[in-house]
Amino acid sequence: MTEAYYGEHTAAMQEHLLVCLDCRANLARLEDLLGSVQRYIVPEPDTAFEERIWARLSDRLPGTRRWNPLLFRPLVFAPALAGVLVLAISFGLLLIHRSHGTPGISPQAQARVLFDTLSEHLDRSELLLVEVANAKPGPDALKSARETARDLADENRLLRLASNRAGDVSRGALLDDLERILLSVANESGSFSPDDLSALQKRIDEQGLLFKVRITDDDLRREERKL
Amino acid sequence: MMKTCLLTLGLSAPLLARDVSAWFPNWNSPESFTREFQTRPREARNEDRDYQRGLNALDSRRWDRAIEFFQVVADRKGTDADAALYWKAYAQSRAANREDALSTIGELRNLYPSSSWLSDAQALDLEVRAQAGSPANPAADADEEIKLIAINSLLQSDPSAAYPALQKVLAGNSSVKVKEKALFVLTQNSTPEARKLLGTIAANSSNPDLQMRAIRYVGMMGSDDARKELEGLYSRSNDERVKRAILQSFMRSGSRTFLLNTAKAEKNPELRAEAIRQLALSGGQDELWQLYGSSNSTEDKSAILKSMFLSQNTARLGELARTEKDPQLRLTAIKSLGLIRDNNSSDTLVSIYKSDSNPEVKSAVLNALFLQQNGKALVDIARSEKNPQLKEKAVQKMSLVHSKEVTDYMLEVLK
Repeated sequence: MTEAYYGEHTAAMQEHLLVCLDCRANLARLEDLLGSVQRYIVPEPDTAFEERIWARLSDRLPGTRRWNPLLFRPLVFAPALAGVLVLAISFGLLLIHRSHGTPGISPQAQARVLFDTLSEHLDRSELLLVEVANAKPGPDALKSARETARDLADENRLLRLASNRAGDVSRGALLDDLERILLSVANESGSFSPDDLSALQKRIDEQGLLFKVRITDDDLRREERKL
Repeated sequence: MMKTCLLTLGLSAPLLARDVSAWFPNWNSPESFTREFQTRPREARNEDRDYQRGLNALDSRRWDRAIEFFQVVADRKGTDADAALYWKAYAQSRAANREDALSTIGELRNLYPSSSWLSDAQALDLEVRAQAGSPANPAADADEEIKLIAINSLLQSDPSAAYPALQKVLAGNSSVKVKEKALFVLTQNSTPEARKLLGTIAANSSNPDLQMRAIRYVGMMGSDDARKELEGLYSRSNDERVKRAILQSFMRSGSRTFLLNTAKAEKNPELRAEAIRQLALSGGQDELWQLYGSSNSTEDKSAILKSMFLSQNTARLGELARTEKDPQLRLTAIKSLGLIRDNNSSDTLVSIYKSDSNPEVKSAVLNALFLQQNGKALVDIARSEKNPQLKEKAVQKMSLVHSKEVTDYMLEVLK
C-alpha cells in the first residue's frame, strides 16, 4: 500500500487495485493519513537557535577550542586574512630564494668587473705601447717586452670577447687594434730589424693607438665610478 | 776564399735566423745592427714590404687587401710565411669568411707545425667556431690560455657544461695569471653557482693573490649579500692583507658605514688608519668629521687630518688649522692645507698667519705656502713682516719658488 501511495507499485498491483474495493479503500485511508501529515509546516528556528544548541553541545565536547565569535566579524576577519596572505606569500618567496641558493651575478656587477679589469689592462698596455714607441733598434730591442705582450695578448682576447658580448662595440674595436700590435710583439721570435721596428712604431702612431688607449682608460674610470 | 766565406755568412745570417744575436754575440751598437740589416737581399725586403702592407691594410680594416698581401707572403714560404697565414686567417674571420679562416688555420698547422703562431691560431679557431655557433670543448686543449677561451665560449652556450671546467682551472695547478683570467671569466657568468664559487675563492687563503682579486670582485657585486660576506670575512680573518683588501673593496663600492665602524672599533692601529684613508677616498667627509670629534687618539686624529687632504676638504682643514687645541694636530692641519693648491686654502693660510702670534704656527704657514709654491703670498708676507727671523724665513722659502712675483721681489731687494 505504501509503495502504491508513493507511486512505486507494479502493473499487477495497479490491476488489483482497479478490481479490489477493499484495497482501494485502504489506500484512500492511507492517502488521507499521510496527506494530513504533509500539511504540518516545519517551523523555522529563531536566529539564536544555532548558538544555543552549539553552546549546549560545545561544553560537552572533549578538548574543543572555543572561538570568540568577534573574530569572525568582517572588521577583524578581513585584516587577519590579509595578514595571513602576506605571510604565506613571504614564506613562498623565501622558499623560492632558498631553492635558488646564492643569487647570481647581476649585469651591473659584471659591467663593473669588466670595466675594472679592462682599465687595469689598458694601463699595462699603455706602458708596453710607450716602450715599443720609444724602442731603439738593436739586437735586444723589445726582448723584455715579449713576455708582457704575450700575457697582455691573451688577456686582451678575453676582454675583447667580453666587451663585444656586452654590446660595447667601440671598445671591442679598440681592443682588436691593440691585439694586433700585442701579437706582433709577442710572436717576434728573433730581434726586430730596424725596418720592422720602425714599421711597428709607425702603425702605433698612425692608428693613434696610445692616445685611444689613454682616452678609453679615462672614460672607463669615469663610467666605473657612475656604476 | 776566406773573404767569400765571410761575405756569404754576412748576407745569409739575417735570412737564416731571426735570432741574429746568435750569429753576432758581440753585437752591441745599434749602428752596426742597422748596417747588417741593410744588407738583406731583395727577396727578403719584398717579403717585408708585402707583410707590412698586409698589416697596414689590417689596421685600416681593409680585409680583402690584407688577405691578398698575406697570401703573397705565404706563397713565398719565407720567414714570415707562418705569421702571414695567421694574419690571413684573422682578416678572413673579420670579413666573416669563417670557413676560409678555418681552412687557412688548418694550412698553418699543416705547413708550420712548430710555428710560434699556432697557439694564437688555435684561439682564433675557437673564436671563429663560436661565432658560427659550434660548441667548444675545453677538455680538448692542453694550453691553459686556450682552454680558457674555450670555457669562455662554452659559458655562453652551455653554462652548466662550462662551469666544472672553470672550477677545475681555478682549483688546479695553473699559474696565478691564468687563474686570475679564469676568475674574470667566472664573473662574466650570471649563474648563482658562479657567484657562490667567487665567494668561496674570496674566503680561501691558500692562494693569496687570487684571494685578493676575488675579494675585489666580491666588492664590485654591489649587493647587501656581498657586503655581509665581506664583513664576515673581515671579522674571521687574521690576515692583515685580506683585511686591507676588504677595506679597499668597501671604498670602491662606496659603502662607508663599515669603514666608519672599523675606523672606530678596530684594535689594530694600522688597520684603523687604513679604514680612515679608505673612508676619505670614498668621499666620506661627514663621517671623517664625526670620527674626528669622537676620537680620543692623537694618532687617529692625525690620520684623519691627512685623509682630509686626500678628499681635498679645505673647509674642515681650515677650521681645524684655526681652532684645534692640540698644537701638533694644528700644525698637521696647516701642513695638509699647504698640500691643497687652491685659493681657499691659500686665503685660509694667509689669514692664520696674520691672526696668530705663535712663531711656530707662522713658521708652519710659511712652509705650507712654500708647498703650494705660492710666491705671491710669500712676497706679501716678506714685505709686511716686522719680525726679522720670520722675514728671513719667508725669503728663504721663496728662493725655492719659481714665480714672477718672487723674481720681481728678489730684484727689488738686490737693488
